[in-house]
Amino acid sequence: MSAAATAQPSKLAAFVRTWWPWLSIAARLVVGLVWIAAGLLKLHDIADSVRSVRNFQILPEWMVPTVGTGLPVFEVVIGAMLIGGFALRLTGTLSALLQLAFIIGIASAWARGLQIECGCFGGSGSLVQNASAKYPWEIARDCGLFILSVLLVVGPRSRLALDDLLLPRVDVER
Amino acid sequence: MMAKSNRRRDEERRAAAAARVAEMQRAQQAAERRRRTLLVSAVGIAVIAVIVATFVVIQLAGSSTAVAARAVRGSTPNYGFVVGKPGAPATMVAYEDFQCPICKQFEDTDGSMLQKDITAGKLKIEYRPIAFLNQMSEGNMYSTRSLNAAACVSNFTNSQTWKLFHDLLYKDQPAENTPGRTDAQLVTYAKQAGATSPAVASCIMNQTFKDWTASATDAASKAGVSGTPTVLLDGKNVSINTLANTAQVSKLIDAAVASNTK
Repeated sequence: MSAAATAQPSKLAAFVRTWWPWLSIAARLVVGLVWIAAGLLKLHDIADSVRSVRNFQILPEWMVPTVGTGLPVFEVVIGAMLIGGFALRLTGTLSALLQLAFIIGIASAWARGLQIECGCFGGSGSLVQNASAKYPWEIARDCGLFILSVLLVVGPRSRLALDDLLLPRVDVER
Repeated sequence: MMAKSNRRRDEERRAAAAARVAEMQRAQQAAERRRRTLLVSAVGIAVIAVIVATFVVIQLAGSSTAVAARAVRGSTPNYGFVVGKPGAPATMVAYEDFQCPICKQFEDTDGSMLQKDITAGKLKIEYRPIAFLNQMSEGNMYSTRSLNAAACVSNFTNSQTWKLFHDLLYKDQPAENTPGRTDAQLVTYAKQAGATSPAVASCIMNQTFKDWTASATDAASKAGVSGTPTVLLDGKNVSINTLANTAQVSKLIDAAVASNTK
């Protein structure tokens, strides 16, 4: 952890270390807003969210209604916590895990040749003839959000965050 | 000479001690931060759990106490509407949404051929319309309203009138992401199809069968229907690509007729 151990940190590393608490605000906003937008769209039509979960044919039927109903709220809450900067290490972890679950879900649907829209942004949609053409792009998008979430877990220190008030500030220069 | 070296050693010792104290303080600070991070995380988990659980419990309780949907006269237990002679040798099941543009393509492409086979007594079709594209009508719930209207028409008239109404809705399908047709327009189409009684109109305006449309959509989802049109011929799935080719569909129907009348 000490600066001496990492012999001569490059200027970029030093820059990132100094400015990460500010840079991470952007990461929080991007991931947080995406979660809130995705969640609100699904909240619009809970029954559709349930059907979307069912379409992936991964979870057993007894779990489907609970997951389909809870997921949109979970997304909105996570998004709000990210933007507010509350419990960033936890919310970053949950955000990363959920993105990972989505990536696995889409990849597995793709591998099984299921023609479904992922429903990530609400709307299981009509059966598009080439739904699978969208899978790579959806996976790429979720991977980007996954990486941003992981960065927030590794570096949860952030300015303009509730955590800044709740947690003691530790000397960043070390 | 001796004194000087002693003084230096003293200084070094003092500096080392100061460094140790600083290190300990830092470690303490870090430990305190870890402790509080854990605390804040625990609070975070509690917040998420309470909000999500409350919402889920309220939602699921609301949906399970919902009164069983009122039955629609002329509908099958699978929320379908049968068009054609009951004894027709080939049976098609078609899941559709009145808002679904690919269903319109299916109707435009194969509709007249299918109608011919129905009239000839070769084929019966169980239409199972569902309402899963409500987000496509700018909050106007056209999927649900159009399906409710179709249920009303069936409830008060007969299968032929229902089919005419079904065809009218596809002929004048609203584009996706527009408000769809008004209830008044749906009433007009019902009258045009022959469902002229005021009971039909009030059924459409009051969305009498709204719960039924939700049950129908849920049943289709549980049956594994993830998109529309989903078309089965004698229980076998007919792909979208095949549906785009009327001659091929016609051939499949003839094959089904042949194998069922052997």
